[in-house]
Amino acid sequence: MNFSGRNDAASANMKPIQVKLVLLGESAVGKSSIVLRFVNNEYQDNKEPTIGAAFLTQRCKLDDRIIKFEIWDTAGQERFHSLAPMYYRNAQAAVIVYDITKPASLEKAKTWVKELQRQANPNIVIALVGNKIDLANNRSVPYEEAEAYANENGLLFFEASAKTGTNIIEVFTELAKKIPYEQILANNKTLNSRTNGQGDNGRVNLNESENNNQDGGQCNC
Amino acid sequence: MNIVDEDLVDVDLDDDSDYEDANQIDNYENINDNDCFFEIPLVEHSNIPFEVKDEDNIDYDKYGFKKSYKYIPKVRQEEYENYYQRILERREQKWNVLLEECNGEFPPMSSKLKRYIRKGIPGYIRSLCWFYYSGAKTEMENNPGLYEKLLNYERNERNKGLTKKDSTGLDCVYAVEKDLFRTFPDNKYFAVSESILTMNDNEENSTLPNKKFYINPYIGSLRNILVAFVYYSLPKSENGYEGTCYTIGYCQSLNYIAGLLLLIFAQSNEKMFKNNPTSIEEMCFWMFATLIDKILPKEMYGVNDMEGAVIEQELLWNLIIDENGRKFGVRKVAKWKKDMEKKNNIMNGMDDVPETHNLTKLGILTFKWMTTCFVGILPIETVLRIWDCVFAEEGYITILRVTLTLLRIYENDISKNDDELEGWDFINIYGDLF
Ligand SMILES: Nc1nc2c(ncn2[C@@H]2O[C@H](COP(=O)(O)OP(=O)(O)O)[C@@H](O)[C@H]2O)c(=O)[nH]1
Ligand SMILES: [Mg+2]
Repeated sequence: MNFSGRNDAASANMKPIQVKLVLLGESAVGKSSIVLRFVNNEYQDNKEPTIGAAFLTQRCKLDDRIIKFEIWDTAGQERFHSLAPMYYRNAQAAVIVYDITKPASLEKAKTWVKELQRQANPNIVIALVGNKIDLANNRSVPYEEAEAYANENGLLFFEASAKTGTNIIEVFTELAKKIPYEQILANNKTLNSRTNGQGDNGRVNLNESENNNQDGGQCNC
Repeated sequence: MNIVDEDLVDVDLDDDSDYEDANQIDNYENINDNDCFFEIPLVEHSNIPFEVKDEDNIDYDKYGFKKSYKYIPKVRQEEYENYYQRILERREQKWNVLLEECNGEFPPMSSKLKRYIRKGIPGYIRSLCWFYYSGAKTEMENNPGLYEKLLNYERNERNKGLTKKDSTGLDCVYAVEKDLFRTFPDNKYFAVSESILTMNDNEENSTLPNKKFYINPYIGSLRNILVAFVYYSLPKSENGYEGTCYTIGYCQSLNYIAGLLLLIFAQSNEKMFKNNPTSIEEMCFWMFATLIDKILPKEMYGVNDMEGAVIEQELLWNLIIDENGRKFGVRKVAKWKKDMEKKNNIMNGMDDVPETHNLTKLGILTFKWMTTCFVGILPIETVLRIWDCVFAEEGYITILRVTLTLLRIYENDISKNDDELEGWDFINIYGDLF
């Protein structure tokens, strides 16, 4: 897989497939830091708490497809929970994050998994991510425990670190590989014919504006 | 609701008569000497002297925030600062005259004073003005000793061996602690070193708060204010004081508001903050409590899913689409909103998703503006000018007015984007631009 900015010559005239991705998890587990690492390859100690939600995009190339991730980074505190369905409805992918030094954050992650399984798009692809492995000295969630849980529930599983960058790209790459694109395209086709009364060769036609605001936006893996 | 204030449509910077140099310092000291301050420093502030260090090659503004030249070049910013400095000096002179006329007391509210406040309260007297006109001073005087008592609530719970698992209060305190080092990390007063950050977390059942939060006095005071508010705003059934009319505890974004209050109060009463931080904290606490409980809409930060904040968004968007946006000059935003809704309905109808969560994506942005009272959204000086109006007399309506104004200023940018997501993205970037 190949992540690339929009200046990539080969991809310049390809229409990207939009993939809506949502990040969920307890406050301060590192959701915003993971997004920042993925989108800008940056890291900030003491990342400010997210209020409500933040929105970012990243374009990637997977095989012969261009994917535009629309990333919704949510606020972790319980009372923002009522806003969450707005972000995860219609999402094709979810990254549920916990902190490997905080067992309670895995419990919270499990409740998110349940909520998504119950209420989100049934084809949603979910990755469970144990963040902050740079703090392995303070680990209190064993790798095997979380992995077993992920396997039981059909989730992708990673341990990662936004701080060092370990495994961050991998999370998004593996997610991107598992997304049922044919289905998205088919859905969009129906949607388009509903909207315009005509099909459109299966192309995503919801948002084609090319005035993408990403500057940087480049990463190769 | 009177969003347009007929009183003050015409605000003119050159409207007053001559001035004399009043001795503002006197006035300021008088108020500080008020006898309702505590003698006992109850706070766990550390004895290790804490040095505020400037990083090399970094410019700070007068509030200690790192300057960024990412969007507006340094020269332009400096030009503007010089220009604005002259205005500030002028306002200060005007205020001096006004206070002189009132023998150093704060004058009663009048349309002249309101106009003065709108044009900006001078920095040296800002905190005391807010404190006086918001009613926080009265609240504090009516509740002597309460702040101290509230801080002891935490101690008592810990002494009883409670943990965050069996106490709502301590659970909120834990949530507060998660955000302490994350509040204004770019401000030199709030910044903490790597060595503090990596200090160990407390044992679950420790009877004292973790020392690491009290090495930097600003962080320590911020913790105290927020912790006092946790217990102030919890119901009696949860070992709280039930001081607010609905249950809050702690909500993210309150850290920014309390943090900015603290910064302003500590900066303009520097000596006092050094010698007796508790007295500054106490004033900030009452400012904070007055804002949340008396000035802002009910349930804005409540455990009840922040219902109030969500309702405010609905109200705002109703104002916007009212008369197709003509009422507040946001026609393009109104049209854009309707188009987006149409599109969403088609999508949602197809997906069979219940329309229970009706905020538009731009609504989430205005949600953030309102719950933070613009801290971190607009430049600091702008936020302070807005807060001048919020605290001294005009209240919450100011927040609504500013929100509408921002949407109006950026309405071309918003409506240019035919997809709601792109619109959101755009605004987000503009948010940084200020
Ligand atoms: N050591 C370490 N700290 C991290 C990592 N990711 C995030 N953090 C820190 O954890 C805190 C919370 O991060 P943030 O991304 O805001 O979490 P969110 O609330 O889930 O969005 C911040 O102080 C980050 O600097 C990581 O991989 N390792
Ligand atoms: Mg976040």
